[in-house]
Amino acid sequence: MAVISSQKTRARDEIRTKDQLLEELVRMRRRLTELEVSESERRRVEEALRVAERDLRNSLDNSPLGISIIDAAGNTIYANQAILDIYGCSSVAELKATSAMERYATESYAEQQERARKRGAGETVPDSFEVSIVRKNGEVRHLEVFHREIMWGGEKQFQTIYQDITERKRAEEELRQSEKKYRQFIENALEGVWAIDADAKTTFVNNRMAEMLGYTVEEMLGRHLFSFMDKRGVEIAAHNLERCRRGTEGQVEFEFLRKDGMRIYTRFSTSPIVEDAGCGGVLAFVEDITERKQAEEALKESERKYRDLADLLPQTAFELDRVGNLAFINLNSIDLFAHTLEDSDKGWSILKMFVPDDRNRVGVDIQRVLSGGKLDGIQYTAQRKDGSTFPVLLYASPILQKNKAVGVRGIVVDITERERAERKMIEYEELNELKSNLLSTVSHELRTPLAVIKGYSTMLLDYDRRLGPEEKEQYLASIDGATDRLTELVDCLLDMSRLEAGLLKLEKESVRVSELMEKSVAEARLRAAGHEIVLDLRKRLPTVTIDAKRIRQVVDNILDNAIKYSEKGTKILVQARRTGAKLLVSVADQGIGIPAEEVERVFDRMYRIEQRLASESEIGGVGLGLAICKGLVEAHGGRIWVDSKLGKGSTFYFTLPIDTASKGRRHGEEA
Amino acid sequence: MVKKRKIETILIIEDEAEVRNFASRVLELEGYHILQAKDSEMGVMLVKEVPVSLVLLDLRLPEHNGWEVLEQIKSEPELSEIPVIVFTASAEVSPRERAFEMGATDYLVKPLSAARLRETVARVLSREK
Repeated sequence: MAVISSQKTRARDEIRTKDQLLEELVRMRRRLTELEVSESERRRVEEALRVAERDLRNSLDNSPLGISIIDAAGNTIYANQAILDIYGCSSVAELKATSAMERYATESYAEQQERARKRGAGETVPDSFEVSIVRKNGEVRHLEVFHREIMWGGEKQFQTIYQDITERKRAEEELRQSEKKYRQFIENALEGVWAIDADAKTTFVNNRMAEMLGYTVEEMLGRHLFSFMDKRGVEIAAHNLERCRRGTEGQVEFEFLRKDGMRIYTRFSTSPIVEDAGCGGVLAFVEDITERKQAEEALKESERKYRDLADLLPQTAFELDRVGNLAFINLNSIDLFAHTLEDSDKGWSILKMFVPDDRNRVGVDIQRVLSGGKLDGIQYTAQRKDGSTFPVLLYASPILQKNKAVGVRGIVVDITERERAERKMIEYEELNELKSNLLSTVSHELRTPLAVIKGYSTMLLDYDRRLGPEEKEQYLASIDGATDRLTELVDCLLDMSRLEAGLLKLEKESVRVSELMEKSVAEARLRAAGHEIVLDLRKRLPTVTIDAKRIRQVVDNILDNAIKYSEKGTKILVQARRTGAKLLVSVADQGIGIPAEEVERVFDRMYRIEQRLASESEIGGVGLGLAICKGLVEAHGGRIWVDSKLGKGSTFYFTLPIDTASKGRRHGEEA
Repeated sequence: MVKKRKIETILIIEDEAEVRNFASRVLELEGYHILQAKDSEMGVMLVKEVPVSLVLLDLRLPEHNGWEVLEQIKSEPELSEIPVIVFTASAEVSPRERAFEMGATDYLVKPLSAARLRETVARVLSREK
């Protein structure tokens, strides 16, 4: 702009200079006629005049500005080289041959005509204007024209000075286009644009900004930045704004209330507006980050939800970092494993959750997860802070970021209850199988004596006359025997069910064990004459308070077993002695013995050793005998067990508690 | 009893002595010739050695091998025609059906009466003729 102005000034100066020169010329001519007196003087003056004229002509011809002299009719009297160059003509004649209509662009021609009309009508016409001309080669150029009246050759003519301003026009147009482009860009930007002055009054907002806040652009102009905020927003903004002004902070967040009252979150990318008067205003590009904020809030909420759930989880949920240090553990587990909350913060290792024996294995497995593996319920033994242990399953998978394991996330599940339930289930299944076996055995054992009774009694009825008296007696005896077997079987079943239901009533009395043993052995000797049954009783056996009938049942049963499972002629040793506060009874045989793997099971219901040696009519084949013995001994507060060697024989033991009174007497004796 | 009838030999395989005695005695009284076996081993031996008209078999022999005896009799061409009446320990249907499938001719459920025994035996033997 400054350059252009100085050119204009120079042009005016030149015009002034030329005017002065012309006046000088006229003056000199006047003087020439006055001084015609002297020829030599005249020649000298003429010479000077010629020089002045040539100089003047030179100056006009070579002026970079186009200069022409035009008469009132519009004919070109003079045109310098610059004019010819502007029009692209090679001579004044050529220029003259070109009509004004051809020379001027259509619009400029019309203006030219109008100016001519006005001049003709004596109206004032501006002596400076712009025209667009068409060069010989068709190119359009823009000229600034200065038009004024001068005296030329003693007559009133018009001097016209042209300056080519095509380049300037183009630059101005480009600037205008560029400004328009940027304004459009800002007006229609997807981001809000907001400018405030030093007083934080709005000086500019674009459509997007206004729309963001629910106002029109006009409504916002002139309003204070804070007037779009509530108290909370202002508090945040006051602090941030100061930093923006100083230019120390490029990006800040502001909260606004929309015209409709909704809160929005924005991010301002700011730059201070620096003016000559100093800094004050701020220009900002504004992004609506409400949705992002809300998403962040939702994410936080979701995180909180999972954390809360993890804390509620009655199991251990944890996260490890990439080197295996504990990064997170739910509250529940802190209670269980760590001594304090701080323990869990300072490098408390997950390994401490397991018994020392398992730690190596856990460490190796965790490493496996860190290299991308997965643990799908590996069993370990966990250790609580109080030292107690419990079985757990560890489930873990890697925490992946861009397909790389950056940690481990897992759950430790306490399976104490599950294992207990599983054991219960197995027990239950075993019991069920036992019950069904028992039923089948009992039905067989019941059916056999029933078959005897039914068979023989129908025979006696059907073949009475054909049977001899001895035969009949034999059948009746068999029926009698079968009835006894049934009775015993029923008793046995009743005992078992009473024991199981805890309904067995013991009729306890103070009993001398030696007497009981002697009777039992004496009867056994009668039943099994082939065996050598030896009774070894220590002297002064203490008295015991027992249900004599029941303990007798136990001794008989064990003795019967000894007889049943050992060969005739072998020895059976029955002993009773005191050990500590207990009376110990043992029955040792030299029979077939019990396989080691079955020793544990002999007292189970339904256990029955293979009956190869058992005689066919033996009673108690249901397999409840020893189970009942166990129940009876335990009901007396005693214990029953067996030592056995396969092929060598078995020794059954049982204990009974000694009366406290009896114990006291014994102490007395010893003292 | 009936003179013209040839004396039939019946094999009883039963581990319970008294049940075995009862069945033998009833059938002896009915005029049959009786062979007794107290276990499967002896039963199989006898059925192979002695021509018998009928086998009474307790399925509930020790170690469940009453079934094996039945299978053996029915799988040997020379023996398979011999009718077999099985004693079943229970009134359950499934072992009975299984016995029929395996070739048993009839069944008797313990406890059984003398009448039931002789009638079943007589029926099976007359049907075989």
